[in-house]
Amino acid sequence: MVFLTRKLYFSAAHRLRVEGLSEEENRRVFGECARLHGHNYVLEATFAGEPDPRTGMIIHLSDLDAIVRDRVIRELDHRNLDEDVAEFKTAASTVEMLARYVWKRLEDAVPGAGLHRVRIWEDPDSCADYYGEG
Amino acid sequence: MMGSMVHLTVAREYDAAHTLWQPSFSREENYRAFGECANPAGHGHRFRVELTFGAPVTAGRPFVIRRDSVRRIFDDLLAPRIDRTNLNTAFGGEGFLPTGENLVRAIWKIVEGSLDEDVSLIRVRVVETRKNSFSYTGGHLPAVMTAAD
Repeated sequence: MVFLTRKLYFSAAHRLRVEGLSEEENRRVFGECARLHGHNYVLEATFAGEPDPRTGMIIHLSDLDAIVRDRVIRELDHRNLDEDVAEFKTAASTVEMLARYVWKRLEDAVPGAGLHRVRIWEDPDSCADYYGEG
Repeated sequence: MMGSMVHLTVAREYDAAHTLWQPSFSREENYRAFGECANPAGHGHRFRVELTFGAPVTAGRPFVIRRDSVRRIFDDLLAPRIDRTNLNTAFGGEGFLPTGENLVRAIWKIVEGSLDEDVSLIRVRVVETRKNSFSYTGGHLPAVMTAAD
């Protein structure tokens, strides 16, 4: 078993709020993140699998990029997460929820390899990790 | 919706001085044990403190830990001890030896004791230099760490 991690990048705007909380309570929970702002996100997708004995690879990286771009980046890059992504019209677009969302999109992305971890950096000092329900 | 466990890591950097000097050692033993870190006059680093929290996340509770709690931990609990301080005395105990190994455990004790019940501390990591970092994921805390109370 070998772990392969690929980084991809997207930039998006969002604001954090929980439906049903007052504006004041949202500001208390999320601080300045309750205002509309944006990030350069870094997505690290880690897959676990056996390298193909002929190629020595779990998956060709450009094939992996194409899959992740198609399933995730295209939907998130240069978007307003709360307006443009159906999932976050109702749920808060925290980095934690984003990690779970990306997991669902990539879980079965690579034939023959399992998704091991989704890590999303919201800024150089904050990241969320999700390993699935396992 | 079932909650699913997510980890959130948040980092902050602090500038602090310390020296590694064990009073029960002779001068020679201190230099042998701690090398250049045993300069009695002290030296300093920019310490990067990374805290990893874990909690189940749901649509109704879309975060591992409230961001105002994170701010309180870094600004109110850790900054007074680590930001522009002398780590040999800033943790309050006499004889606290501020190695990276002791720092991660002292920080663990402070942070874990301040958390609400629905949040777990998963890991404390301290990056001391480009070459050194220390991680602690919980477990037995030796008696000497009571110096950091």
